[in-house]
Amino acid sequence: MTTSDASAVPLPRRARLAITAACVLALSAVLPRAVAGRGAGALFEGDNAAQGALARAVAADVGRDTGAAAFHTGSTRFDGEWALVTSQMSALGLSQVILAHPAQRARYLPPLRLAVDHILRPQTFAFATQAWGASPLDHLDDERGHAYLGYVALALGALRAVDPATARAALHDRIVDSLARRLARSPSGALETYPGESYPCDLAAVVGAIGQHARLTGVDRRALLSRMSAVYRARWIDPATGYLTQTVDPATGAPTSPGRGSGTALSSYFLSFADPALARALGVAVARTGTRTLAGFGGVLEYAPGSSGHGDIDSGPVVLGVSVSATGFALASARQLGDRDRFVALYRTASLFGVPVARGEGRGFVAGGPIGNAILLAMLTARSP
Amino acid sequence: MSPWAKRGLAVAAAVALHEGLARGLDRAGLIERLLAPSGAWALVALVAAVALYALRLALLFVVPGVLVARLVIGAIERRRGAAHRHRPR
Repeated sequence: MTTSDASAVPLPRRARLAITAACVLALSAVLPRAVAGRGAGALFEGDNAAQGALARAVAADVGRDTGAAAFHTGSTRFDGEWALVTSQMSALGLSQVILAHPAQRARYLPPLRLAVDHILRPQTFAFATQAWGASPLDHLDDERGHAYLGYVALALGALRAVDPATARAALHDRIVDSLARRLARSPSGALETYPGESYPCDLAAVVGAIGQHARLTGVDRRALLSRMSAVYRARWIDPATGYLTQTVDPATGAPTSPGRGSGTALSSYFLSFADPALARALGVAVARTGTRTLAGFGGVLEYAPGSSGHGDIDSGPVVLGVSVSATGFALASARQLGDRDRFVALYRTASLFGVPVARGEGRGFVAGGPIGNAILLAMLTARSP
Repeated sequence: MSPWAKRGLAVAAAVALHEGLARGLDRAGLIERLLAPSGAWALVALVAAVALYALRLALLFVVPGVLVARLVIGAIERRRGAAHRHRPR
């Protein structure tokens, strides 16, 4: 009996199961998307309160100082990379919030400066010093490598965009000049991140940093940016899928692995600082080739249809072909392209599995940790080029 | 206690447990715990995370439908009961 009413006549078990299944299916199609999508519209619109809640949580994380020692991926290189990306994304996100809401400058500039201070500590570069045998900032006159400095330069540019008089301006100039010179002298257009390893996504950070610096300082880098745009379009973007190859031969620039959703989506964001048309092309590829939706929840395929592979440190877990990183990074291009429906669908997934919770005056994602929350702040507040 | 009061209490308890797990894991640092070199902490975090997601998915995707189904089934059964009483003997 499903009711306390003694006069009720019970339905057959099969009918009750059918009604239950129908109700579960019907509500599954409407209720979870409504609950998980709460707040997505406000973030898409750049609402001050919505962005501020995320920024306050990230600012608190910056204050707690997430260095390489906070991570335990099993690889000192990955621990160092994660610490670098955590601080870089924190800086980018906080800068974007200040640019969108200048009245918040006094609140978020101190943690933004602190995030940049964290990046520039010698221990941040221990992973790179180990790989190259030399500290990158002590060898900016060298002719080779260190493409990961694009991440550092983007963070410095993010600070400079809201704090033009920053004492870090001279270092910003030196790093970008060094990267631009190395890129200009590279016959293939590829710089190594580590000896023998080149990643177009890291190069997108380099190109983005060069374009960002040009915009902030007025230095003319149009020829170099135009050349890199041609390299990306002619050699590194798969014409069939629009996905960006993950690795290239440093000497020849020839692609050595299939395109990846995570790298394509993140590159679209980085390149938006330098080359809006190229960023748009990658963002559209992520939307058309990689985005899948089910019951209002969106995800991005790590491998384009026709290729396959496993999840790794770049993609995070890959479930049914959809990767955590690609889905998170794609939020930026969805917002930049003005694609509200896709932004909301991707946000629902981030919210469902990220588990947002209140943190004092802020709001963070339980499953994000410092790096995930910093990345989501940067992606959810990405500005149109 | 009526069946609906029991169901309401069960749902409230599940929601409270979900919130408690979410806040607890957030405070403890879920990702750091999962990546921690100490296997014991990672195991505790993993079990808590699995429980959190199981509750979250059930509360969003299953529980509302089951509750509405109970309402619908109850209504149908009452109508059947009423029809049964008014049937000519």
